[in-house]
Amino acid sequence: MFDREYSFRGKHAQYVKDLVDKDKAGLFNRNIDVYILAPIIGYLYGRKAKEDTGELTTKIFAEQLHKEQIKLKFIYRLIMLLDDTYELTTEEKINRAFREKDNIENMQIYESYVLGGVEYLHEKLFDGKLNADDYLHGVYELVDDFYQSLSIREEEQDIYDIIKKYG
Amino acid sequence: MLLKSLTLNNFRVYKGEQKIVFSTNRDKNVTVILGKNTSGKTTLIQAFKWVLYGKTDFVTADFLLNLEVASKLLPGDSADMKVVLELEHNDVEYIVTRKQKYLCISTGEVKPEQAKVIIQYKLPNGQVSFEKNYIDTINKILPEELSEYFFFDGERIGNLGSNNRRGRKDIANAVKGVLGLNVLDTTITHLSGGDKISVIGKLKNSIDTQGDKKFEQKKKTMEQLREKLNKATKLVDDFEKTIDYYSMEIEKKEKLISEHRDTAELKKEMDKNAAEISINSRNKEKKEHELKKVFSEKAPMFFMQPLLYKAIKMIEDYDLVDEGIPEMHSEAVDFLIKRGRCICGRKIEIGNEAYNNLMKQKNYLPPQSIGTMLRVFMTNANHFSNMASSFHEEFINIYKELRTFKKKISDLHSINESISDKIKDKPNIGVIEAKVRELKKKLNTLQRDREEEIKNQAIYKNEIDKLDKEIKVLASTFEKNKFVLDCIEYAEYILDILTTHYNAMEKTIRKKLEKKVNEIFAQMYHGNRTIKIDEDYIYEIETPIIDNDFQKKADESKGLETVTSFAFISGIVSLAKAKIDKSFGNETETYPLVMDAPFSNADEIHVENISKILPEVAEQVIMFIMHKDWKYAEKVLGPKLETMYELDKQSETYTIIRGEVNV
Amino acid sequence: MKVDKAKAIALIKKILSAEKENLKTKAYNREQMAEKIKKMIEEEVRKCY
Repeated sequence: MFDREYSFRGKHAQYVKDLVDKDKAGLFNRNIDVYILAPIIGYLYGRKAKEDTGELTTKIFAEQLHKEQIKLKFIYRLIMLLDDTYELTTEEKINRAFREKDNIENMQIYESYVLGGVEYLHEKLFDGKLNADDYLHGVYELVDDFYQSLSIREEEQDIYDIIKKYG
Repeated sequence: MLLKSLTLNNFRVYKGEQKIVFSTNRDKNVTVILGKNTSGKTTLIQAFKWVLYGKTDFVTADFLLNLEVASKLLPGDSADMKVVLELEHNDVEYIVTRKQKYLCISTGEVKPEQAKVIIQYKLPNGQVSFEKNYIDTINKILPEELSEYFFFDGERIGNLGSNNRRGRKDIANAVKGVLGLNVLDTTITHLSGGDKISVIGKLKNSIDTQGDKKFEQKKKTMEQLREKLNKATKLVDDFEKTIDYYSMEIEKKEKLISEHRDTAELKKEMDKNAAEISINSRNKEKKEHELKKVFSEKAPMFFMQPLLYKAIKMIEDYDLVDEGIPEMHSEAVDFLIKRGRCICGRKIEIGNEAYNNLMKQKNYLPPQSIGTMLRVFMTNANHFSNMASSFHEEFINIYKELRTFKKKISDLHSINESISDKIKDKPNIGVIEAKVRELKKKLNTLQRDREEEIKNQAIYKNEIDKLDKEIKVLASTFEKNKFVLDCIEYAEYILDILTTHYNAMEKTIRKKLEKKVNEIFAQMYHGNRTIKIDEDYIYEIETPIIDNDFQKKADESKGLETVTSFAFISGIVSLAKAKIDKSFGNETETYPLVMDAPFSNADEIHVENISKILPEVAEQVIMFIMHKDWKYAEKVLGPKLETMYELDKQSETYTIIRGEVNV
Repeated sequence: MKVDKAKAIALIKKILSAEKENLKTKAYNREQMAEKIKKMIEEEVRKCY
């Protein structure tokens, strides 16, 4: 897991290029930064997508993935714990998250969130934007809208306690 | 002499027949003609000159026919051009007509014929008769050489007031002309030994050297020295002309600079703003970079917060965490299974209870046990959550700062745009200031060069004098030369008398002029200002007491010039009047004054004062005023006005004189 | 040689008259006038010889 080169293909490759290229939005420094954020976004906003056929590709090198393994594995486990595609029980979800390795189906679920997240990010941060100021404002809106929706503050407290207990 | 009317017929820009009637009323003795620059004011003044004396100062002095009329002529056609001046002198009414026919020849060219003059006068019984001796008649009415002291165009007025070379020459000539010193002046020029073609020069040249080489050498040297002196004198003159020109240019430009000082200031502000925009742009870029960095690093943590919450809850509910045996690894179980016997001693066989239990336990031991993994997971979650908690605030702050820079840049751009609009059509002061510096440098060089030449002049004169004496001594040794030397002596004697006399007379008139000008000043400045005119006609204005009325310096200097020029005009006119009256036995003859009024830059105070003294200067005043200056002049001159005209420029070749009678 | 005042005055009268006339008619140029005056002076001085 996360030890081989990864390629975005077809329209998703274009989307990632749009988000990363300095000539375009230039909002992310590297492809992998998109790759890290995208699945979270994809799951949050319920977006899954299939891999696109198309000649265009843009890569993430194996070394980069390797360096970010901790983050990547964490996010993977998070998605596996929460995804409800197959209506699993809690135990099954935990197993899926922590025990199963190199399961193709699981990776497919994960990647569908990655691609769905890419699509969402492209919609929110690239479409209809004309200049550098627009792009940055798009990011601001994304962050701020989300912040507003984190309405239940008390739950944050609970998490904090729990984490303290186990961490 | 009073001017009654001027009628122009195809004279220059005045196409067709156009007439101006002048005010001859004692109390309302001012005629105003409004006109912008280039509308034809100077042409009108020239029309007077032409009808009276057949002369103009135009570059195309030969061709005076209106160009539009001229362009419509076909070969064989002809057009008439004429100017008619009605005037009154010694109670006699005169009509002076000068006309000129223009013929279009076969090549299409339009050529003027000889102009003809007719003077008619009205007899007491009402009959009209012709005056045959027109040159004499006109010169008795207004002598040509004095006419320029009754007609002043704008440039002359400006020169008079500004104490520059041309103005001084103007005054010097006035004095000479008025006094009739012209005769003396030319005589002195003809006599003086300055160069070869003068009387003394010729005489000296005819001194016989009788083959004496030394003598001949001296004569030659003398000639060369005279040449050098002439050249030096010419150089000095040229330098002075150029110095004058540069001084005027510098003055003009410095005036422009001071008028547009604001522009320079505004430009500075613009530059400052531009620099600030640069700084802010760089800062903005840095912030943008910062923002993207923070986002890249921490956004995932930020967005995963609700997911964390859910996941933690899920794990907590499942309550799995304690199931592992500390320090025991799955490999240990494999070992026991392989061994076939547990730690407690029981037998382990595939499928038996011990085996099943052990296999199940394996799930709770690393690497299968997830307790550790869960702990790791929780630690990470904790870490990420911390990162997230500060993210939002950090992000928002950077974004706000970014927006501040953006706004600052935008505001500065707006300011610069509006400043740019303001100064758009104004001259580039920096360029002009540089030009002024350049000119000043040139001026310095010129002045140095001039001084140099003046020194040379003195040296040459000295040498010439010395040599002259030597030559005379040598010459007198030869009998032949006695006659010539005697003639020279007479010539030099006469020259001396005439020169002394001339200088004395000139000084008298100059003093009279100074007195007259001071009289005017006295009226204007209540005795607080006096003027002194030296022998080169350079004047100096003394202000013993600083008057509170004239606090604004800029206004003061312009107004002062205006008043000064008026004072000079008034002084000259009074001298001219006195001269004419004396020559022709006129007792109380009146004279007109036609001038371009230098009422520029709204010197309200001075317009008033000048208007008050106008009646002193002339009994009939005809003034050209620009529309924009009429505002201020109207207040004072309005009551004195009987008729007002306006020059309506239709094109470069056609102006209409529009008349309006003031009630 | 001492200048005869009477002669000088006579010359001045002659010269100035000629100059005045010439200013009006402008018949002679500078060189010509200078020549004229020179001749006047020579004539007057010669009267002694």
